[in-house]
Amino acid sequence: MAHATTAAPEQGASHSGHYVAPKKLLLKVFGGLIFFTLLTAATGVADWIPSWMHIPLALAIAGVKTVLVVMFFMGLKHDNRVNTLALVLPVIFVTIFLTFTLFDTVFRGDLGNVDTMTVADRELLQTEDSTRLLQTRGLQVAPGDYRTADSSGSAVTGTMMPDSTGNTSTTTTTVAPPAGSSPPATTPQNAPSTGATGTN
Amino acid sequence: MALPTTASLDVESPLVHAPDHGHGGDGHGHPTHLQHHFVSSEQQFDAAKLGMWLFLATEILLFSGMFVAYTVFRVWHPEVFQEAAHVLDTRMGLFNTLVLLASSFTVAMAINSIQRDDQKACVRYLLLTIAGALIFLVVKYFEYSSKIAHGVVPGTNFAPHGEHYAYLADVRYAKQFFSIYYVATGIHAVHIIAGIGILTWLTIKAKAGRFSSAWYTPVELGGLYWHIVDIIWIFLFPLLYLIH
Repeated sequence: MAHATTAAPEQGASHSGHYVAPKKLLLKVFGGLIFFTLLTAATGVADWIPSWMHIPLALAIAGVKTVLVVMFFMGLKHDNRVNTLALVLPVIFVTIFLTFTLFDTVFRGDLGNVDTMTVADRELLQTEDSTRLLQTRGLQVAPGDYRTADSSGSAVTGTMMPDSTGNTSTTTTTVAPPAGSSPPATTPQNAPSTGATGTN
Repeated sequence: MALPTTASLDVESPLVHAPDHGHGGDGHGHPTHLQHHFVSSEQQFDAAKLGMWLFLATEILLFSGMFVAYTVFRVWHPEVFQEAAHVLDTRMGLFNTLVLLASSFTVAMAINSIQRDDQKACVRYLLLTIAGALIFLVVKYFEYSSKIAHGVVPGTNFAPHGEHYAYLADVRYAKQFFSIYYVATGIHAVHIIAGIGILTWLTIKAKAGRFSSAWYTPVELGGLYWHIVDIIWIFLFPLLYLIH
């Protein structure tokens, strides 16, 4: 393999015409990588840095280190642009993957809550006379609930169907409708207790 | 990097060497490393490199699954990650990070050497890279074995005991943290082992004088692979060892 004997004249590059990174540059990049590693190790356990900043800072430093490796060690800076595309595209897809997974997992809330009552009605129960509430509201959620409501005498119209004014219309003749107002309208003195107990 | 448009580039290009060997005297005017289906050495090199980058893209996507699992569980149970991560030795993680960075540097130097036709230096740097990979694995072995000895194992057999590990039994979801830890670092370690195989093969070929500045594609591609393994660890280290 005596390529050297037949080589074309060098033009500051290798025989194959590829960009050759100067050794000094590689050494500098290596030094930078060590610096950022020690920096992330120091800041990662530092108490004076607010706790919410630890993850963004660690990811930012890791990002800088990655850019150094990719640009100089992997040579993307002097490489075909299409290779950069092969790196940027998966990064975009990973971002989509992560973001849309978090849209699900972060906002699941109380998915484990299998209570038959709505959270709003639970809050009402905390603030008002529960017996009267049950009588007036009937707490109908599913179609099956309406049949029992009929048999107990409470009219179908006593449900939480808001009319055009935004108030729930209770046209039941047996009970007056003070409790029929919309759930957030709780009495002022009891209001503070509603939020804490509502998510059971 | 102009794309060759005609086959005549092959002959005109100063990058291509004179027909020094031919294949068994078939009289083709191209270097031995150039496959028939490529127009020029440059095109062949670029195609191989793009193929490698596409493979690296799939590697990024492979590890992304683990990073997403990590993120979801950490968002759900941040306190578990803080508690459980006490078991991980930051000094060992930091040392391994530096070792991997050094091996990334040496593999970059191996490519640099072969680009300058210094085959001896190339072999030397490749051997140093393998040494870095082995050191990394030895440290990882000590980390794993001390955890496994104290019942900190992935899966249903998770039963921490012993002085520094017993508290994990009371940490809810600590098992999930260590499952993520073992899967992420384990698959990374598999990549290190595969990398040792690749680097060893490269060293043998380089020692046999198979590479030169005219053709060093395997060294270049092996280097790219090794760098991506390093980059994965660049993210794993702060996310696992530096939870504060």
